[in-house]
Formats: sequence, structure tokens, C-alpha cells
Amino acid sequence: MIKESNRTDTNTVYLFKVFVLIFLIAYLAFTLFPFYWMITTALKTKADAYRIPPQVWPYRPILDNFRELIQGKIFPLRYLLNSFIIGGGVIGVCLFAGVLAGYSLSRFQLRTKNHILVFILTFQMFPSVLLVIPIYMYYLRIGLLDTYIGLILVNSTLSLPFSVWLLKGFFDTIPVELEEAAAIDGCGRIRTLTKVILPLIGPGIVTVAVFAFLISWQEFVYGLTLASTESVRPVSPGISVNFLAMMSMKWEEMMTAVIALIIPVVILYVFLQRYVIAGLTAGAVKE
Amino acid sequence: MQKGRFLTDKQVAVILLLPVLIILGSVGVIPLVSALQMSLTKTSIISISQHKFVGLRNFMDILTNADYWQIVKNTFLITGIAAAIRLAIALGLALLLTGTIIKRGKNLFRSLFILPWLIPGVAMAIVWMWMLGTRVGIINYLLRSLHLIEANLPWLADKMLAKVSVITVFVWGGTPFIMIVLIAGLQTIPQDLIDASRIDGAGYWSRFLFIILPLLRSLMAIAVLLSLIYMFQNFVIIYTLTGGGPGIATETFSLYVYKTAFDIGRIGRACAIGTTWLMFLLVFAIFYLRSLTGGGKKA
Repeated sequence: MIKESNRTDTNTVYLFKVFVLIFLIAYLAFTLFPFYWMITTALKTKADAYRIPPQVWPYRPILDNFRELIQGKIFPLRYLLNSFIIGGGVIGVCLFAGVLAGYSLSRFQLRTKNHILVFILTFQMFPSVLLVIPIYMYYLRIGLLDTYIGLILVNSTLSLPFSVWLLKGFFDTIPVELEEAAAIDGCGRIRTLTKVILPLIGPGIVTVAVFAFLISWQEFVYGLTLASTESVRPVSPGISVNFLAMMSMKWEEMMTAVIALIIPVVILYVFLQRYVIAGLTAGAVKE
Repeated sequence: MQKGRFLTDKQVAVILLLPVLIILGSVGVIPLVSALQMSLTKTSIISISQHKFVGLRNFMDILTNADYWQIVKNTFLITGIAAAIRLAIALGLALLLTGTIIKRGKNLFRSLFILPWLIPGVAMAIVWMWMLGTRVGIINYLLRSLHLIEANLPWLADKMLAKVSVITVFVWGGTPFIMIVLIAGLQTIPQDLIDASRIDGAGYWSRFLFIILPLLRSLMAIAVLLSLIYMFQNFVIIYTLTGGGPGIATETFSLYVYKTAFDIGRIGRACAIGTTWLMFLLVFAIFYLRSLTGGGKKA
């Protein structure tokens, strides 16, 4: 009896494994092909890029497009600078406000603690496209339109809820006794915070910083509407403004621009992979 | 120590919360209330500080507009299908990457599969727009070479295909996130449970149905919900890929609000549309919070 079912079992298992392999390879190809196509297009000459039928492999790869990128001929390099500045600002804001708020929510027994947490979480659901309308009007009136500060503030709202939530979780893992011991040793609250606790939540801080930067790097709506000139416009909406406004699409240039957009993110990921995944899972799986 | 305190504990707690509350309040809550207020007015982008109160007129205009309902349908259709496909694929991948069928290279696969998540929406949309081009796009070329299609398909110019294209990009970009979440969840399933079921003679399929699925349920719900919420509000991908077109075939709430406010210039109306949008999101919010506080670990 057992032998027979084993035999049909092995057959179905084999078939299943083949199916699984096909699924895996197919999805891997689907996932990676756009990257391949992006890179090979950027390496093509203008003529080769739109050849019909398309060249699957670049026969005459050139680096001209990248040279033009560095010379700023493809899009203003200022866009990249702006994104870095805004990203840095957002990191600063999220860490400052996040650490304070996370600490407060973790340590102090406020009656409304849960309400605040809920408020912070539902906040992520406010659509920026809707909020940008009054924000645009307001910024216009008080002169924050087209400024770094204006953009840093709105971008912070996208990462703050997560930052507070994550940091609170980290603070929760540090026993209160540690602070009491530090207090006995003579540390005031602030010294305790900086010298004792912060080092312990190092990973949390890095995760928050990485996320804050990534999210502001990708941000589009606020950057599109609240930055009216090149001087402050970040790179994501910048590429859209520069290219999609044109009638003729210069695809080899656009692919180069896209690569420029992606490289900082990929570099960040390669070095800080642990934190990115840790942050992602922390966002969903509660301990 | 208590007596010499300048501020009470409670006061300190509130002060520490102030930065967050001020920022979220001024750039989040106040604009939201403003938007709600403006939905009751007739405001034009040209004379931006003049609001003429019109009550519920905007809402009546919108709700009797056929375009509006088409856009509601679009939003739910695109978002729903994309979320379902994402979940299915991500579940499959997560099971494979935490299971026993694949022996080696799990970490490599995981790192590769996560790549699309890092890509900014603009980049994603531009690359796919290039690949889906009717005459110069590589996708049509590949499909024809494999004899899967006869002639070039207008991926971005046909009403139905445009929706497929948008869904494809959403799936491509968003599946990694769900995959990672599910992997994390799968890794928390105690191994002894799985081993015990093996000893009891349970096949892979029943193990999946009766042990893994129930334990993953709340996690899947949260992942899908987050997915839905994200796509429900996403602007950049559809804006870049199709601009809402052809016509309004791929237009969702986010584009509708944007265009009404900044292209047409009817701000009051745009805010009204946005308010109805928020109603829908509110429903999602309730579900989200329910699964966060109610779900958790139920063995």
C-alpha cells in the first residue's frame, strides 16, 4: 500500500519541482530583464537605441551617454544635489523628532499613548496628492515654495510615523533599570539618553536613516508641485519634468538618467542591506 | 530627586512629543482640514485666495459625473487585481525561499528578487514605458519572436492593455515588499510544528493549507492592506506611464485630483473628489487597524 502511493507521489513531486523551477526562473527573468534592458540601452548609440527590430544585445557599446550625464547634458546635476540635501534634512528631522517621540511613547505612561500611536499610523494613509493642494497654497503665501526647508518638512511627514514607531519599539527593548542605574551614577536624563541608550539602539537609528533617505529620494508628488525651479527640485520629479515634457523621447538618454537615479539607492542597499530588510520586517511583524 | 524636578514626568513626555506633533500637525493635519474645507467651496487656481462657499454643490457635481464613477471603478479594478497577483506570486516566492525544495542560493535569490523595490517609481515607469513601446519596445519584439503574438500590441494606447501595463508595473515593483514580509512571517513558524506534521504523515499540500496558511493569515492581511493603500494613492507610476490614458482608462483617484486641481484649476472640486477618496481610504484604515490590533499571534 505504502509503496504504491510512494511511486505516484514521487512522480507528482517531480512534476511539482519542475513547475517550481520554471516559476522561479520565469519570475527571475521578469524581475531582472528591465535592469538588463535599461543598462544595455544606455550603452547604445542614438541610432542603435531605436533600431527596429531592437538589438537584444548592444553590438557597439559606447560610454558617450554616461559622459554626457556627468557633464550635465542629460539633466541638471543639481537635481542630484537637491535630493541629497533634502534626504539629509529628512534624516535629521526624523532622527531628532523620532528619537524624542519614540522615547516619550516608550517610557512615559501617557493615557493617550495608544491613541497617538494609532494617529501616527493612520497618518501614512493621507494621500499626498490631496494634501499638496492646500500645502501649495500655504507655501505660496508664506514663501516656502521652492525652498529646501519646505521640501524637507513635507518629506519628513512621509517617514516620521514609521520612524517614531520603529524607535519606540527599540526603546521598549531597553530595560528601565539601565536608566535608573545611570541616574544613580549621576547622569541627568539627557546624558543618560545620549551616552547610554542611543548607542544601544544604533541599528534602529541606522534603519530610520536609511528609510528616511530612500523614501525622500523616491518622493514625487511634493517635489513636482512644491519646487518650481531647478534650484530646489529633487531628482525624481526632475527627470519627469525634463523628459516627459519633450515631444521626442530620447530613450538612450532617459535610460542613462534612470541609472543615475538608481545608483545611489543601489549603493546604499549593497552596504546597508541588513538594515533595509530589518526595517521592512519590523514594519510588519510585531514581536 | 523628585522634589528638585523642574518639570513633571508628564510634562516632559508631552514636550518630547512636540516636534513630531508640530510637524505632522502643520504639514499633515492642517492641510487635511483645509482640503476638507475647500471641498465646500469654489476656488480657482488663478485667484487662489478667494473661496466662494457653495456647500455640497461640488459633491453633487462629482457624484453625477459618469467619469467619476469610471475612475472609481478603475481605481478598484487596477488596485485589486494588482494586489491579488502580488500576493499570489509573493507567497509562492516566500514559500520557495524558506522551504526545502531549493537547496542552495536562497540568499542570492532573495537579494535579486528584492531589487525592484529599491527602484523609484519614476524610474520604474520610464523603463517600462520604453519596453512597452508599440514599435520600438522590446516586449513586442520578444513576444513576436516567440510567436506569442502576431503584430505589435499597443500596450499603452489601448484601453484594456493600458490597464494590464499598469498592473504589470505595480506587480513588478511591489511584489518584493510582500515577499519579504511573508518570508519574515514564515520564519517565525516554529519548526517543531512542521516536523510534527511530517511525522504524522501530512503531505506538503495539507501542511500548507492547515498549518502555514492560518498562521500567516494576519500577516498576509496586513501585507495586502498596505499594498492596497499604497496603490490606491500612488500617483507617480500611472502619471509617468500613461498619464491616466488613453482617455481615462487608467486614471485613478490620485490623477483625477491632481488634474482637476492643477490642469483644470478647479481646486474646490479637486478637494471634493479627494474627500470622497478619503472616505474609501477610511474603510481601508478601519480594516488595517483591526488587523493590527486584533490579529497578531493566534495559534
